Amino acid sequence: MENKFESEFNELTRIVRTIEQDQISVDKLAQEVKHAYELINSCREQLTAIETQVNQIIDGEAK
Amino acid sequence: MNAITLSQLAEQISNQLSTPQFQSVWVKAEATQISYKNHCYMTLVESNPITKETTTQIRACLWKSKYHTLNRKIIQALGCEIPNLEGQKICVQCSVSYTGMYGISLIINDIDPTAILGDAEMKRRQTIEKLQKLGAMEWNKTLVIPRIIKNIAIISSPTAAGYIDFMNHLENNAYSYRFNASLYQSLMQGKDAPASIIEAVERIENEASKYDITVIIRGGGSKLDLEAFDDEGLALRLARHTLPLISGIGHEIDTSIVDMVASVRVKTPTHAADWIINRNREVELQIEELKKRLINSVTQQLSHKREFLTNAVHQIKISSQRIINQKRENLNSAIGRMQMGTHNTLSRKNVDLIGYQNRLTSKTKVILEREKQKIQQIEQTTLPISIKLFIERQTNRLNMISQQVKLLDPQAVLKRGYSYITANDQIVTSVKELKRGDDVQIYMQDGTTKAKITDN
Repeated sequence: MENKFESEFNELTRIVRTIEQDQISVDKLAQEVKHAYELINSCREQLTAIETQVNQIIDGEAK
Repeated sequence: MNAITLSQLAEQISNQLSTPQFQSVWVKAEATQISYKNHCYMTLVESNPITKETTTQIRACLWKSKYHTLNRKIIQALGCEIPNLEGQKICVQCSVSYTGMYGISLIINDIDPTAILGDAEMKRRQTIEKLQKLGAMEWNKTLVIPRIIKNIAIISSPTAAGYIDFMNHLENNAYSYRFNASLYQSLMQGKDAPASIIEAVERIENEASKYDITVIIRGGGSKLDLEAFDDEGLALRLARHTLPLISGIGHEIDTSIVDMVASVRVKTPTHAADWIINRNREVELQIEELKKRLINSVTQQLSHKREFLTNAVHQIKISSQRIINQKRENLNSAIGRMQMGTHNTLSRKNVDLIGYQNRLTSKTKVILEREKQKIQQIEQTTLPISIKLFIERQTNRLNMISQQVKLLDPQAVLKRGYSYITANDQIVTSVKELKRGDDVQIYMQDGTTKAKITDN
């Protein structure tokens, strides 16, 4: 649970780099892209959740 | 012998005493055995200053007619009545009287109150000088009086009006302060007072840790009673007392030596109670003031902190939004890079494929061309000959077969006079296939004809 976003983002970066450097077999490309999109969605959800949480905390404190 | 009677002698003595020399004479003596009923009687005494033994004593009397005038005078000067002069050295103007019945007695006409104080005052000055030389006046004053006074040792007499005033005042104060006050009983007047007070101080000293201060109080009394408080031994003992001493021994005008050695001197027991209460009140006010300042300071600090927090909230809002936006950008950039990467990977593979395809196509063309040429070569060279031979051979075979086929041609057979019949378009090869009445066709070399079976 700790550093979930960072570890997922690092994993995503690793996949992107692998793809960019053409170090991936085509066979695995779809699988990796699928995994990458899972990570992207997870990261997005986390960002949205964190954003909402932060705003709630700040607005709650402001009251 | 010319004798006179006893009464005649007495009369002569009496006459001798009626001269002015004996009629208005000032006498110094100690007043003892003072009694006052109708008239006032006392015994004037002189003692040996060292052995204290009485060396001379003469009865004296103060007639009722003079008593009230003189008593008022004494009250005014000394604050006490004539009977209180017991044991005091007094100076009286008197006339010497002699009666045969009562002997010599002194008739008091006047009393000089200043003379009464004279001796005591001398002694008092000596004591002050001695104590000042010792520094004893300052000893008790160097003690620290606690900021808040709660536990009080009292030296007084339980029946003294001053003690009762003090306690009333202390207990019914306007601020509802509560005190633990303990009375150490002592004689507060008379010759035995100093020793009694010293004894009380010793008792307090044994329990000194229980108290904040010692208060010595006495109700208003005569000026003469103050003498006890000028006692050198008592003053020294009180100067050495380990608790701060508050004296309220009750005289408006004069200051006793005990007052001088005390840390604080007030006029009356009531003033002593006020002093204690006011001191506590001062501390309370100081605390109130500090409290106010503390509250102000805390409020101010809180306000600052609150402002800081408001700013911090704003900053956090901005910063966290920035971080989230940054992360989102990073994420989008990663997505872009990945899409680009994926596209590139696929493109490269595609390019590879196209390359291979092209290579494959051109290679195939080459192969096909070569084969075509081979075929052409074969066609142009080997094939024609082979074909000719093949055709000849086949032509020969064909001719032979044609000859054979000619022989087998039914027309040729028909020409030789044979015919065949059909029934229902089927060649009939046996009579058993026919029955009477069947229509048949007969095929001959030059045509056909119909016939009907009549036999069978």
